[in-house]
Amino acid sequence: VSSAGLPRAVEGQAPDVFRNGGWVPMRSYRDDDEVDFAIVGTGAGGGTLTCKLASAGFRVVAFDAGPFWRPLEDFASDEKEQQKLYWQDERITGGADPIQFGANNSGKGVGGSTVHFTMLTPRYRPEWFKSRSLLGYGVDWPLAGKTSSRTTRRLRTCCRCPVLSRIPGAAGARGIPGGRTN
Amino acid sequence: MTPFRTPYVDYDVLAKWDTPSWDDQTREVLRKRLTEVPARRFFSETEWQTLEAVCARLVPQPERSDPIPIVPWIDEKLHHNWRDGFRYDDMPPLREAWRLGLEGIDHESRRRFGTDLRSLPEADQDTVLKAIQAGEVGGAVWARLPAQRFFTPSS
Repeated sequence: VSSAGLPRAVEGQAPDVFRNGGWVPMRSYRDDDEVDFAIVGTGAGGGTLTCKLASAGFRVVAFDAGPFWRPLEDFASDEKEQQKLYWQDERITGGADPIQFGANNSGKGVGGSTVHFTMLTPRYRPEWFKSRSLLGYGVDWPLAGKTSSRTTRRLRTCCRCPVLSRIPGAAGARGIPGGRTN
Repeated sequence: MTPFRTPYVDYDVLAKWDTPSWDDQTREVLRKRLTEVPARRFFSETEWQTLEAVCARLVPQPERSDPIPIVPWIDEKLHHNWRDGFRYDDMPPLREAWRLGLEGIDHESRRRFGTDLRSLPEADQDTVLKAIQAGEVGGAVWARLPAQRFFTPSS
């Protein structure tokens, strides 16, 4: 939606996040169309998955609770103002040692928290993949060694190429910031 | 309480106004914040005054002849129900927590000193606030609202 509350990404196009007032093509579907995948949430996980599936030729619809931002027009260089990018709805936390979720570690809008990730992307150190065994907390990942570095490389590649309009047949949510490949 | 002293005495963020650091969107946001301070919409008059008294002790601004408004922005946040993205399961929802908490502050103030917080001398106000921070409180309100959770900023 736009700041006026109207849907922005409709009728086969979506905001071009790199140009004021610009648009990029985006396949859209009617409510009664049959699709292969419906993805809830367009952040680092859902947005990337949408991109990969659509690029592979699947019919994909992606949902997000928040706006489809135009960063160049909608964002100010101001910490209080950018709170509108955060997930502010209530999530309940409890237990003996409840986690403080915080607001700014998740996002609400197309792109999710990647909209305000501030280009901070800590690389996983090898020992973190075996944190339970080696460090005594968390859990061991089912990934390690070469798998993790290959996975990391693939993720890094697809997370930095959000401009799906150049991929024939691409569909789904767009405008996931994080840089572009060209 | 120890007065806050900025280590950046020469820094003025508004000096960025006409520099490349700010664009038109940023200037508009800051212009509105400086000139359009929100009116009271969420708190009652009494709640507002209690919160003013709290802010005057927690973030005193003796060096400013024209203090930066704080309460109007909290009121605005609650008016729009801009929450923090999560809630502890032993806490009421944000708006209810604020109403209860401000009521509880005056309860604790009356329990200890016989009058509302805003009517107390500063030293007694500090005693009340420290008691809430430490969870050393009594009465029905604080049975419904964990005092230390209320006092601790959630984000």
